[in-house]
Amino acid sequence: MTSKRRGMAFFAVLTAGALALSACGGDDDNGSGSGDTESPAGGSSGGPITVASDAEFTSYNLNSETGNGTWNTFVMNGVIDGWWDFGPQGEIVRNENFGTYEVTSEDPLTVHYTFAENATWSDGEPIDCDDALLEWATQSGAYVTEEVGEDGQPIPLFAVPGTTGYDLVAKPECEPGDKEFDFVYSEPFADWEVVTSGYLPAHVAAEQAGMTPEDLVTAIQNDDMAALAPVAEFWNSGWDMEPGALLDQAVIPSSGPYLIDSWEAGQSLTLVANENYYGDPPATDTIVIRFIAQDQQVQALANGEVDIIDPQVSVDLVASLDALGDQVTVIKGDAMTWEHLDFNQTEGAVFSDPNLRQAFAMCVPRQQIVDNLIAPANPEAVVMNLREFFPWDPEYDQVVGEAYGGEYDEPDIDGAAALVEAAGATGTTIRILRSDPNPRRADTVAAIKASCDQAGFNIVDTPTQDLGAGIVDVTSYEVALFAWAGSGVMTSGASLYRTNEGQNPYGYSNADVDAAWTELIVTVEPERQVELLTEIETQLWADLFSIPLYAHPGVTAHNPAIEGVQLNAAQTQVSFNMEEWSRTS
Amino acid sequence: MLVFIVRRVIISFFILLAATFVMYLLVANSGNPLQDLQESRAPNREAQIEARIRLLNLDTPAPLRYFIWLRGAAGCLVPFALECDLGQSIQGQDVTALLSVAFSQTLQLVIAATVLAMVLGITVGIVTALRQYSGLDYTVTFSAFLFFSLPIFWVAVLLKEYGAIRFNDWLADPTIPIGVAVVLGTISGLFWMIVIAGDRTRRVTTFAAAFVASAGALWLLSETQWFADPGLGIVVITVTAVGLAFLTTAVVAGFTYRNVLYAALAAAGIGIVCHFALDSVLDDPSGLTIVLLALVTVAVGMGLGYGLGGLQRRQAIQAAVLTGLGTGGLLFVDRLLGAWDSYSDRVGGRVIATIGARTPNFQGTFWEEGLDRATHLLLPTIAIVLISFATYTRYTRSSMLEVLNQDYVRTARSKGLAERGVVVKHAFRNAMIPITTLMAFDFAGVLSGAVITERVFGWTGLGTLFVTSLARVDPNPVMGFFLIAGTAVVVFNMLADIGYAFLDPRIRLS
Repeated sequence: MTSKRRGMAFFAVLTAGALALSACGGDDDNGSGSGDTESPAGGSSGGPITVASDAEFTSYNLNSETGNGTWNTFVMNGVIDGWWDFGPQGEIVRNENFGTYEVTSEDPLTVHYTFAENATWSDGEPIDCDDALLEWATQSGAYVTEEVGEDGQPIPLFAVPGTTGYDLVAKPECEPGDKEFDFVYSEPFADWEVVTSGYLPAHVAAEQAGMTPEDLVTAIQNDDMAALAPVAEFWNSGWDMEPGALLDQAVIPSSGPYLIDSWEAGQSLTLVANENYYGDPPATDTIVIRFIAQDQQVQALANGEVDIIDPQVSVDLVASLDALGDQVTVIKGDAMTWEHLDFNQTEGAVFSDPNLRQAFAMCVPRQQIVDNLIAPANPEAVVMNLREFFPWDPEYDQVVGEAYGGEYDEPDIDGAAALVEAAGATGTTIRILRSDPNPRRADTVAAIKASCDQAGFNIVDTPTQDLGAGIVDVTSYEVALFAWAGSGVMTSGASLYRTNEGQNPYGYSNADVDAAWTELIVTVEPERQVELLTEIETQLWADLFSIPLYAHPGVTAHNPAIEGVQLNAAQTQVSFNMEEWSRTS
Repeated sequence: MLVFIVRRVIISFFILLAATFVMYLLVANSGNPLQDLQESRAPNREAQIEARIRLLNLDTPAPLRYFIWLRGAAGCLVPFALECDLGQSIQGQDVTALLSVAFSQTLQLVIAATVLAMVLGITVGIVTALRQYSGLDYTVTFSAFLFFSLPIFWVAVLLKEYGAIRFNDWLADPTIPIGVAVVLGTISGLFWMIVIAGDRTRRVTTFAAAFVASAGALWLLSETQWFADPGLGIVVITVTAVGLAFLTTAVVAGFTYRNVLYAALAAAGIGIVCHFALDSVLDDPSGLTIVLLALVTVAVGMGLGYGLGGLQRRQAIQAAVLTGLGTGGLLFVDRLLGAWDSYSDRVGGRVIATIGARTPNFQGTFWEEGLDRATHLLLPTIAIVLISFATYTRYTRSSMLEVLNQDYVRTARSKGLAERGVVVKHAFRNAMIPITTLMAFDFAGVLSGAVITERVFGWTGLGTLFVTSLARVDPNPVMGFFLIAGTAVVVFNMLADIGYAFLDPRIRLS
């Protein structure tokens, strides 16, 4: 036994000693480098910038049914340019490098589009009317197959997520290679500006379908369905990709500042500067998009593995970002998603009585909800008083002044209790429908309960997994608490407030509101649009259609060495201005 | 045997089939797949909802939708003849493509971790069994249960905070304060004291030696800025390789006959010579070169054992091959560490990664790329090993103790066999039989159960696929995951049973 023990003692000293001796062997590498760490050698643009996205890229074709998703927008923001872009607060920013457009006639509404002379695809092919014509052919829904879908409607030849607006546009008239064209609308359309922006390369679609670009233009001009069938086949799914299987560069050219260079499934996607870009060259040559789950992004930023993150906001997230101190720059602000309480006013429902709606509005502690639940994530957060404008919109203050008297700013429990008593409704159960799981909404309902129970209501939290089905079933709730994501499209509100519209199951009906919306949809003049929206908001407040609460908070955080990062409130995400990002050190 | 396998396969098939049906219904009813679209105010909202309903056949009731899925999945059973169609994800991608990417990622992650957990766990389990009720035994028991009960998401986040973020911060100026060196030295001294045991004088000597060596080594490493540019160097390689030769000889054959030791030492010597001889070959080799070198090492080791082994030829071959591979491993690690300096520069000093499988677009020498893989694998591997380690040590320890108390072991001892032969030859082999079952279970479990580890460390493997798809109420990828995980459990279960029959001749499968 002893000899074995001695052997082990020898080994113990040996391992410890090995560590000591290795100290002498540390610098035996062939490199010339010193032991000091240096930041990576940077070129003129200071090395690549890495940004985190939480979902994998799937398609080059943002305009198709399958490709239309925020995960693709995140990448394509740098690859496809268009006539305009959404700015950080949902405003429309024109892109003069790509081309210009103007309304040339109000009746019929005609918009004249002119491509910039030097606007070309990265493969050298000019961006021209061919591309616009293909876009019209795909988006207008003018071409349908002979098959009939389950809904009884013919199946469109090109699978697109929607045809709103485009279906009013007549086929543009132009010859192959033309640099300008007109959009002529069959009736005025308020959102004419957002109908069209970025295009897909018609020459690639033509080549993949085995024809020349000229043939493609001819086929569309002649409505030649047989010739368009192979184009549709490619267009519908040919630009979709399996994870990591990037298509050949010839098939995915760029009209923007960046090209898609490489893609490693589940890990990252790399964009490099488009050398043939006709606009100002991007500030950084290489942008790497890493796919990282939301909850892991903060540590990845802290460890320098990504430079920019744009996660979903929670109070915990903001706290952990704040804890990093000056290692990161945190931008807090708003997102274009807004929370609201909708009344179920169908015949026989509790809130068909306007006095009770008023009583409920008087007891909801809106300021307190914002202070307790939103201000920790966004100190600038305010109570929202309008539905069709966000607090940062330039028209907001003016419209609020006219539409809303400030009577529901602070809860008035006594006033509410008096109204409830007068209606003989003391103790009435009010079910507040909300999605589940959602801690913030649970807290909101708890705050309302604490306040409104004092006024004589009996608030019951009614969480549901299936909010969509819940809202349609108007017997299941008195008030619905949820959020709408702003789309930047003005006329999308029509289906929320007009009588018997799809997204108005609440039985709300006001002839003045209906008339104002119907006029708004076909109104092109901005001043008149604001007037109509002011009237709508006034009516909605008077009728107490709903109670707006707040805009969701948004947070973007980045390495302090990166400049040009902005918080984006719209759905276009942080990558919307990637061409402006630069590394300073 | 054949009857057993066939019967087992048929039964398993029907169990899997029933399980997929239940699973499909559960996933399909776990939420509302249209929620994000229903809250959208985009003008094309209705059309998008319509499109998703068509893509996922949402207008068909879930029990019937299962059969649509099953019809596609049935194609996978008949390769080449039928098309294997596991449906599409909510993003419109083929599940088969998603699965192949996820599966390869998961394999990369779990293979190293599982092998490491097995080797470490079994070794420690044996040592604790041999030192039953010693301080070491209690310490290991305590830590094994501690690790076993730690929630992995918490361990993983802590590992990222301290193992990566803080460690990388520290690397910017890698000095160890003298106090820390003293504390670590004390821990090392206590550890070796417990392992070696013996009378009071021996304990004190061991403690002192280990303390001085460890604390001194740390101080020296810190003073020479070793951590900024680590490496082993020829001295350490030589000393460790020779130590390795003695160790393998001790385990394989003992020192009674010198032939085995000579063969092992010769293998170590050739390895050290190769450190210089292969210098240019190893500057930037390919993966193939490394594999070839490993094969050559095995061949040379066998040759040495055959030539020098004499009567102990078999043991000598084993010792020489093991020593050779061990020395080769040392050279490999030395080269890998040699790339540390340039790698560190290229990643801005953030050497240990918290996320992903590799640095995007990283290209360098074989060693730099290898180091990149290693630094990304390090933390998730530690997390998985910590959890699996516990089960292996406990099972090995109890299995080993049971065998050591058997009559035949006492017989072996009483007839005068050396303790080494009793432990290695008689006890260890029989103790391994139940562990085989455990290995099979563990591997199948890790394959499907690394969900949280993958998620926290940003590996887009099977676990991530499962979790994200479940959150989106997207049944097809979940079913793909379930097919792989379920099949793995069934197959490894069967392998364990078959392996059992091979290892233990008393067992008949029928």
